[in-house]
Amino acid sequence: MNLLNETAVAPAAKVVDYGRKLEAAIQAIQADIAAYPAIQQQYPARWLAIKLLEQDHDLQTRLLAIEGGPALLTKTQLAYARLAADYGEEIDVLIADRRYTYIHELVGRVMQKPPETLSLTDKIDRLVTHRLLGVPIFMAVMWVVFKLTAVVSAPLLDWVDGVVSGPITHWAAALLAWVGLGGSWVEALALDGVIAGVGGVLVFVPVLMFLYVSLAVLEDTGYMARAAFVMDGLMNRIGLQGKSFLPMMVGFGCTVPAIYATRTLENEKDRILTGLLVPFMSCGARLPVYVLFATVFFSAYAGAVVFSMYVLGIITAVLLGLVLRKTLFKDKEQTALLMELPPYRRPNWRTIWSHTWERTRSFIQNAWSLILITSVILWLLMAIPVGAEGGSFADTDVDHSLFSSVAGAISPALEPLGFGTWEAGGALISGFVAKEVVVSTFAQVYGMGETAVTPAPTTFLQDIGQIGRGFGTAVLDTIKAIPLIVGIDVRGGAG
Amino acid sequence: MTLTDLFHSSATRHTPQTATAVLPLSMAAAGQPLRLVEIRAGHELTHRLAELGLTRGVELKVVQDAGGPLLISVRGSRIAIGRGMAHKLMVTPV
Repeated sequence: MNLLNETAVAPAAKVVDYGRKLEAAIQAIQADIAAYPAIQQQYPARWLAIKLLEQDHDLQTRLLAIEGGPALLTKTQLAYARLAADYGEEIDVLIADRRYTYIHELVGRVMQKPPETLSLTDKIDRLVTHRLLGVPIFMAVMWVVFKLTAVVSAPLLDWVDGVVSGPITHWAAALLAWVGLGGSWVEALALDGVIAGVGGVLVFVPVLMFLYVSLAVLEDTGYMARAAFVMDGLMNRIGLQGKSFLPMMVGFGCTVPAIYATRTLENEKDRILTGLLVPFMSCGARLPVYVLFATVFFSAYAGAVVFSMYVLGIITAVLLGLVLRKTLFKDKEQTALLMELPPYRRPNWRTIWSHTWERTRSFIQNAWSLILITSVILWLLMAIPVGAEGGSFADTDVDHSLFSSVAGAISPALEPLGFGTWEAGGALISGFVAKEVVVSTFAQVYGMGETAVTPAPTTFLQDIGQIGRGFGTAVLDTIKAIPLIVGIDVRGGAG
Repeated sequence: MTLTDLFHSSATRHTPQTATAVLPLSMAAAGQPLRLVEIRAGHELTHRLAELGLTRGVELKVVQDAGGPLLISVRGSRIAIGRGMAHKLMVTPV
């Protein structure tokens, strides 16, 4: 304990000694940096000097934009060349080596290593990275994640849906009536456009949170890295490496974070190829669309049809991967897997929450910007009348709205595909923004589903009570749904 | 000293070097302590390897080799390394 405190107060002990020649070069560059105050303000001199000797590309590009940066870079390149001539080895490798030597010495002084035994991590790894058992174990883990997001989150999803379409909608209606806008187009825009549109997307928040928590737990415990290790062989067949599998897995939840997740790949072509294949993993938002069509056209085999859509997506991704590998990415080198497998750790709930919240927040922000705008535009298109029979603004039949004209214009292009109606065309256009909007567009243009419910008048306090009770029930149902992961239904017949 | 003697003596003189066999990491036996003697790769890859602690002269060990990527132990951490890349790392038993 004392030892720790002493090293903590002596900052000099923390500086890595890179050896005489390297230190001399660092000092020389530090002296050069002192001549450029603009640079010195932004970066600590020693750190910058070391990074420049390491030839950090990112930092080099940043420096080019700072006053004096290009001149400093020229000077460092000279120092670098002199050093390289001396050592005949790459300087960055040398620096890394010195750092590891320093760490090794420090650890040797302060830590007593237990005699080398098979650690718990090694024991778990024996099992989960096993040549034959690895993949089945991975599949089982994925099964649990899908069940969590699909089944366990359902009661909470219903609760959010209830709150948005119930209390929030009639509070907004009451507020608008109070300011004298009841029954006007403003009310229609707010209720049918904004609340229905944004709310329709917000109901997915619980699903996503379950997905994000699951992924964060897998990441934080260290299992995620093993999944990449296990899947490496299969991914190699389509020209990718094991790590590319992680974004694809995230893609079953939602495509947008999956594309973000491709940032974890080091190689640019890997990132692009993975990003191109990710959208074929059927995301959660596509499920309602599959269900809608499957029940309408194949009611007897709806379940099998929906499942086959998922399989079709994966097959398409594999085929496209093979084609792209032979064509556009012909010159792409097979990137080999190279990653650290961290020791297994008990998940840290704070880390998990911060990961989950960060991702959920960005989803909600999207809902408030992109989806809000789309909802309003969609509503406007459906509200603006076209032609003599169109009626007036916000009181038009959707058949005579601007929406049907716009959608009608593209429908001939869809004729060869077998669905050249303006309704289908319109749903397809709106689906560009968010896939789940396809369902609500159909609902709106065919005037179904959205049955005008006239709720019994409730007081504000009653609403609050109802929201709270609803939440309690939803949490309880969620907990009851957990055994469903392994196929045990404890919810009783009502389910 | 005959010609054959010369031949033999030179052969024995070379034996110490050939005994410390250098082989690609992908061929090394699991559990055997190894030393990394050469990295046959470009700058980019050498840099990535160095960041993970795989520099020339470092001691390492193959923890698992099940046909796919290798699992190695180096400087107290576990690193997964693709077989193709393991071909480029030359090691020698310690």
